[in-house]
Amino acid sequence: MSQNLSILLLWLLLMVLTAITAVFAESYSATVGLVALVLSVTVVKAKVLVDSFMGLKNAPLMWRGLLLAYVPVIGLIVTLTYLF
Amino acid sequence: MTSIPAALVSKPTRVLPGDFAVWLFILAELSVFALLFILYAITRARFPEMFAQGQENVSINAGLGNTLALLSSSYFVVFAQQALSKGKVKKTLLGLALAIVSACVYLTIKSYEYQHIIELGFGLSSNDFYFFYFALTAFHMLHVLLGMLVLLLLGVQVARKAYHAQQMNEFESGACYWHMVDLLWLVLFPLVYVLHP
Repeated sequence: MSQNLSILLLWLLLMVLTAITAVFAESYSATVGLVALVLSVTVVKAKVLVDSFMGLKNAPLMWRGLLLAYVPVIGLIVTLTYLF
Repeated sequence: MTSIPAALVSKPTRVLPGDFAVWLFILAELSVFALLFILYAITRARFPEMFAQGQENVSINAGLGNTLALLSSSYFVVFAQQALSKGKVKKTLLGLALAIVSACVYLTIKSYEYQHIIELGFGLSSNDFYFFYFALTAFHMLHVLLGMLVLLLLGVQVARKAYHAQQMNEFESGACYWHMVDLLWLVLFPLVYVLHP
């Protein structure tokens, strides 16, 4: 698959995941499970953005790790605030 | 057949796209926003009713539109970067122009959103929810405006043929800054628009 096509498909994936998240959240009240699900989808979207759009897939591990950890760490803290 | 010793097999070189200084700036920006996101989440947990009432006045469709516009903008920046690496100047400029147009869509939606909330009689000092709503989204919007300026300057440099496949460091720095703005919105969108208490 060409690089152009793979980036186009990833963009479409991000758009679809965003729309699904919004529709899902509109339909259900925010239980801890839903919060975790929505934030998990956000983690997937962030990974696509960091690795494929920013081009950090082949970057030094420290930088890639920092950027990839950003959304999961915040997502975990936000989920915890729904528990307490 | 003799095998090559593992120590002699060269590992692929890991390279950070763009300038190191820009990455330090990106890290600082992400840290400031992380603090704001965590403060928002803690305050929401303390005042769930206030945040629930406030979020009723925030349109999820506007948030969705903003997200789709920024994701599209990021895609067009990648499109432009790929074109530049192949030496296609016109295609690069087209990508940058479409990225800026997508950012303008974001700004238009955001201005309608603010207008709606201000018409309802709410502002920065109404309560904690509106303080965080305006502080987070307006601070992010300032980053979008700065990013648009960066994209515009990159476009000027591309038109002047200042970059080529082996000389893309500055372009990569600008592109990474723009993707960071998008990354921040990916967190902001569920936090403020999607997840209700």
